[in-house]
Amino acid sequence: MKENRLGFQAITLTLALALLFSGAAWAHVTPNVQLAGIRETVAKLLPSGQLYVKDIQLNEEQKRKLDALSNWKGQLGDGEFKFFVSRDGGDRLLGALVFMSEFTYHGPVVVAVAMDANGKIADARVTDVQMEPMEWVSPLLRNDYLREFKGKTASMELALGPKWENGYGEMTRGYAMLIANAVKRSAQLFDMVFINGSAK
Amino acid sequence: MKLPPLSGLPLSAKLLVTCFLVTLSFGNVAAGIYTQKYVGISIESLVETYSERDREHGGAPHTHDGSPANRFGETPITLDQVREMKHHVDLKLLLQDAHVHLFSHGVLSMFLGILVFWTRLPEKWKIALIPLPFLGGTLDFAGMFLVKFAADAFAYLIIASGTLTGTSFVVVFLVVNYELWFSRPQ
Repeated sequence: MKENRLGFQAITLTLALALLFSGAAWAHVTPNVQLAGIRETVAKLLPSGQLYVKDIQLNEEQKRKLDALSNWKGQLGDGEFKFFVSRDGGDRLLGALVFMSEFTYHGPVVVAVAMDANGKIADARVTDVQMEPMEWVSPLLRNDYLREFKGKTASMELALGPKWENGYGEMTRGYAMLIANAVKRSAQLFDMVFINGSAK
Repeated sequence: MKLPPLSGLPLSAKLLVTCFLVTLSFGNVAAGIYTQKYVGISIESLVETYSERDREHGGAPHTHDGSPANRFGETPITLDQVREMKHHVDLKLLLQDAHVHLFSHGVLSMFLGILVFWTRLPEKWKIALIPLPFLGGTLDFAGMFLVKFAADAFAYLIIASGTLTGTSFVVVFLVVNYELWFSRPQ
């Protein structure tokens, strides 16, 4: 009997440890939820004009400039980005769209951000988020959080208005800031490529 | 401390072990379905998911008909040519996946190893079986990194190690449950 009790205790302890560690680890990795497809997002956010695609490879100076900005820390990746661009018959820029990933501890959030020819935010939407953070992002999407960014520029302040500061949990507010950062980074990148880089 | 044989454990302990293994089984099946649905288990889909070489970078991939770029370096495309982006695991996400998966996988492999150790299998079989779950998980992620940085052919390693993980678990599941429920204590 004593041997049986020792065996049972050993099993229980090992099982408890295994579940404890494995459960904690699995909490951070959950499948991706695609909220909107690429094609449908491009069609919606760039509804008019001739469509182009522009592959961007930032040079060292551009990388340095962006890396120096506090909101780009750890998000530069390999410095490669892709813009979908719409132009009219005379090659005049109508708008540009970028899918910006904001890397988080729970996996990436992808925000599609469209800018008008002057770099002002025309529209934005979350296209991909992991399953676990979905519960924190959903309240923002249900309440049209992304409409807050319409008309803003790269110089927008990264701060939540009173409407979003109150009445939402800490994780939701955190993801609101992450989404805001993705929008701001998109506008900053647009400025670098289309305004300062004269791709206009 | 001499451990009792699995067959000699009280019913509650047997149930505990079996329930744990059955839960892991569901986890493995879910992992298989997830891999099939989001990554694919063909060489081509694994390469597309993990490789960074010769890949269109910077977001949504597209195709175009070879029209020349305009004066801004932009390539004309139509909406039909915008291809939906398949799930791609970049280096950052792969490092995160490896970090959380290998920690948990290591702990679960350890527990499976303890159960193998507890069986009445000959020592040589135990020595052969215990490392397999560890190897399966580690080589799985090694293959992903190697596809990303070395060669597409390492996708075969991902498939082989995934098969090894699944097979070794099935062997442990069957052997342990056999000894729990169908063999008599000596």
